[in-house]
Amino acid sequence: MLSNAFFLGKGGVGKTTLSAAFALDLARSGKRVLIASLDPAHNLGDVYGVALGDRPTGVERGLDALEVDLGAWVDRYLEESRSELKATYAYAGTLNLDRFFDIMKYSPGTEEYAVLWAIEHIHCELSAEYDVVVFDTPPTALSLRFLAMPAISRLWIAELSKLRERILEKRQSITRINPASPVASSCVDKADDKVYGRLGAIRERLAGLQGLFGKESYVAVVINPDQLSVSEALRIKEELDRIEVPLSGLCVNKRGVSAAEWSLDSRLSETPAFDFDFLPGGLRDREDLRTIDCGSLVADFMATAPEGTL
Amino acid sequence: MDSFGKGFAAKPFLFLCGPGGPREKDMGGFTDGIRAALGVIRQVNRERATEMIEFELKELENIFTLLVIGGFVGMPAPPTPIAIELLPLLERELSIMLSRSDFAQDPLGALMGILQVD
Repeated sequence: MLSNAFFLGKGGVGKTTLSAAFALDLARSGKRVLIASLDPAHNLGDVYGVALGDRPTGVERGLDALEVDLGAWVDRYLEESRSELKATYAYAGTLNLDRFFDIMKYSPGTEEYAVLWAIEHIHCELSAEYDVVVFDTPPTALSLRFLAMPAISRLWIAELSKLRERILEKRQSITRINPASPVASSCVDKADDKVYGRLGAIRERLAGLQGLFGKESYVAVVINPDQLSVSEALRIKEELDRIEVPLSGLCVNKRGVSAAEWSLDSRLSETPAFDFDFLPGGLRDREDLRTIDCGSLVADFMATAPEGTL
Repeated sequence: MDSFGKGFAAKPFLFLCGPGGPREKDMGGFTDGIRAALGVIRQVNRERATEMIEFELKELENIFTLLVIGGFVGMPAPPTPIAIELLPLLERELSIMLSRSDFAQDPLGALMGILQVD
């Protein structure tokens, strides 16, 4: 069995409802489950009828939930970056110039990093107490960006590491031939080179996250029976293929909501699909989640082994 | 007699060149000079042998820095956290990058100079 499940999809298709029902089903089958909402517009607490915060809150026996405070994670990430730069340019503090680094809080692209560090925090600090962690994700654009971030960053790190190795080889050659060269006073070994060491540390951290997404997670895309969400699911699959994250399941939610013609694209036909009927009465409380039959989805999740263990 | 003769002949030589003799001092200075000259020649050859590798090394370090912090001058760059994490460790590379900008107008000229192409 895998230890994580991600529910992705277009806004409004029912990611929160299905992930909440899935987590509840797992918990009632005896697993210890943590469900985390990564969506900046949280409504997981509303679905369960429990006030949730940034720390795990008990929903019922075997099920804890939390709503990640993305704003706090953005602040935390930026604070770390600001501290790093302020430490590098500590002398600027003497002239009170370091305050100009505060502009970094408005840097674009910080939200996906904040999500990434929040997932890393949940994985490293909280997941040990649970059998399964379920992630209710933000709408597609942000989710794909944070899922792709480890893979993209690793490409950069791989290329920079190769270049650094070449630099160190050149330094070694120069030091061997001409020990009096100023180059000889710089680092020539991989073990001593701080830059190479830091690249290795970043590589390990990213490998952990990529392994979490690609090998330890069940990634399900939620769609509605309409062509728009099928097209979006196709784009998600293509992006997931590109970053080597397998698509595990397709949840067709709100079956019967309309009589409009729709069909699954043949490129999605290899992925197991699970149907969930439209609830005409909507969701009023937690017990309504029991009317959503997650049995086959849970069975498929339980039957999916982590990559490399089959 | 033989021994007297040998001793007689050896004495002035020993006096001049033996330990503490004036010749020995001259010879020592001469060999030191030769040794120093050979050292200079050897070092010059070493410098010349590594000149091209050092040029290549500086270019590699320059490229490395440009790749890491190129975002600051509008170049495609790695995700910002990578640049920020590496920045404090790039003092040497940054100074090399700035020094390379001195001959940015004529990098081939510098290379031809090293290769002694007129």
